[in-house]
Amino acid sequence: MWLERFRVFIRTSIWRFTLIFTLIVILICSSILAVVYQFTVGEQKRQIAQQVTIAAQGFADLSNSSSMTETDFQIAIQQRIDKSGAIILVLRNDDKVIGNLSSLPKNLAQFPQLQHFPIAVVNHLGETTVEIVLGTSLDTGFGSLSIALFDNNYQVLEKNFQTASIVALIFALVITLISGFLLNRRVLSRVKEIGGLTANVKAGRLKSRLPISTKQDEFDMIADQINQMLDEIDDLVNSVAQVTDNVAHDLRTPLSRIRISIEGSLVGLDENSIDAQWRIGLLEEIDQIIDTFNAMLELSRLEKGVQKSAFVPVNIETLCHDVVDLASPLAEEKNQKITLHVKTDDGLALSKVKGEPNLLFRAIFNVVDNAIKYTQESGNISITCHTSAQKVEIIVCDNGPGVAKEHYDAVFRRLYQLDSSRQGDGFGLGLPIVKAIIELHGGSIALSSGHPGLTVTISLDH
Amino acid sequence: MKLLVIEDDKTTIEYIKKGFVEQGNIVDTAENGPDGLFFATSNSYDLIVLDRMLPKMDGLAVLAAMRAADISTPVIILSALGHVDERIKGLKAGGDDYLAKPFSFQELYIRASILVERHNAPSQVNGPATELTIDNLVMDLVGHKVLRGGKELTIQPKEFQLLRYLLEHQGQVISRTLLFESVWDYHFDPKTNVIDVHVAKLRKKLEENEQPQLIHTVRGAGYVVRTL
Repeated sequence: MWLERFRVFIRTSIWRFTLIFTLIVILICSSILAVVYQFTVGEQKRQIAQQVTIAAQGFADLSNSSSMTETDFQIAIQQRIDKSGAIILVLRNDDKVIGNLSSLPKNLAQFPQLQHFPIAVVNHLGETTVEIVLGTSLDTGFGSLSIALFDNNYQVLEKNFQTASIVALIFALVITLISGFLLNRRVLSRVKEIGGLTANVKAGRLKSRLPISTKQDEFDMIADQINQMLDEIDDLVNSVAQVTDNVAHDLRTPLSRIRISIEGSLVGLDENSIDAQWRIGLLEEIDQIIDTFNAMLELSRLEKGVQKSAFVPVNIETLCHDVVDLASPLAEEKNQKITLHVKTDDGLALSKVKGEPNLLFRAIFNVVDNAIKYTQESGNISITCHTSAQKVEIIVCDNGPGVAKEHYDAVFRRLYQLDSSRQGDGFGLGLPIVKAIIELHGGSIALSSGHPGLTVTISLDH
Repeated sequence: MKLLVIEDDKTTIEYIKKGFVEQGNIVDTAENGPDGLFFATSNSYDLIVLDRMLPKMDGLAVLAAMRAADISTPVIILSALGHVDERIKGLKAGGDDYLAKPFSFQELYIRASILVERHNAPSQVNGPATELTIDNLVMDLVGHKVLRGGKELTIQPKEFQLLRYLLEHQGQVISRTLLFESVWDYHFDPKTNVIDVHVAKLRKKLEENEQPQLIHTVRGAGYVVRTL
């Protein structure tokens, strides 16, 4: 679940954009840092190298001058050491070593090459530390002279620069990722709004619309267009529904008149005569048409959501008992077993729901009646009335042939026939009416597989 | 009996009038609300059939005015609006029964007869009945027992209520919807043969041991309890 959400999240175009954007920011940062490095730390590095070179060149010139003696050269070295604490000078001639360092690494680079090498230093607190110096070795007539310079500044600078760079890069990374994440979430939530709307519309709630913010951004433009489109569709659906309602309504009156005439013509006829039987057959046909029209009109009325004025507290448990009472002979006829289970969560009172008892009875009876009708002989039908803290659930299970999953939505559509041979009472208006009744009560109805059979779950809020 | 039919559709009036007259009743008709109210207040009737939607004055307003004038004549409301809340509104306004259009004359006639009978029945002097009988069937309402030829039958509570209602209206045709409404107290047309199945079950129990038939089917109308 969580993983799936994460996957959806990283699949989005905004997330890809964020990653690319992050990469660009890091590249820009790195190049700025490289330039800054060259102008600060790099400059420092070059200056020290220059100082070492100048000092080495100076001593080389000194040793090459004709008037220079070994003693004078040693004095010059000593003077230089005294003058500056940052310079290291060591003159080695055979076994004799002069200077401010006791030992030097062998194979030190020959002037004009420079080399970094470590030395041990005892500071004023008496602690020994290792410092990196930059130096070179120079062959003079008085022995091999090693020249090196401490570059503390440079080292501190370089270290600070490294730390600063890493911190800056991490900051850049974190900021771009967070802003990308937030941006992504916002865009995704808008996209999800649209997704939620299409799901709603697909589920038949044509009245749903997208919210439009005051920002008037591109999403608002899309939302506005989608809303307009839905208004148009809704109008069309309504006008079609209105036309069918009108047709049903207008045809009822002439049908009633025909019915009246036929019924009147039956008076005085022998009930068992062929003529009377034929007329009675006609009456039954007309009644079925009238019933269908009535059901269509009633469905429209229920869907418009009126009738709330007649709502009273209804005891669902009693209602279920009544339904089973009414339906059980139908099941007996088919040798089916029908059972009612009443479950109430601890500490809860009666399962009362605000509603219209006749409508609720009719809805539940219709579902049970369907279960009996479509389950084979000797099947089982179980009805559970489960009261929990928030809702009352009526679960009707059968072990009949069930309904294929792809038809779950369609069976609630008006005049939808799962199987054309199932023409019968209601003409495919039974379940749509049940659904309309349940939705009028703010509840929901869902189908699921009973392995085998069909399970219908009606849930109503208290 | 003497009836008043207040209805604006001429075909329906003719149909209702013809049906009642054929059964030997006297029928007055009015085609709008004020006329209907005038007839109802100036004559005495056994029953009034009142359409819900009338020109000039709404059916429910006519009913309210009648009841305000202390006329307790039973009223059956007819309406094209066969919805639950309409029914409740009609009964609240003082109607005694409610019938959705289109209806069969049989249904109207059955309901009309029952209403008139109930209205005219002398108030029970000896208290409520404790026993109902027909032929060799005895229904003990206190002990909740049914005996046929002295032998006790095992009968379910709903079957008991069904039988009781039929016995209380012996000789009268009772429609399926009326049976359903009276026994289950829910108001809608179950549109299946469920009532027939219940009656068939009860009938089978009553006719055990080759006892003669008591519950008879009236095609297109309903059931009647009578001895042959």
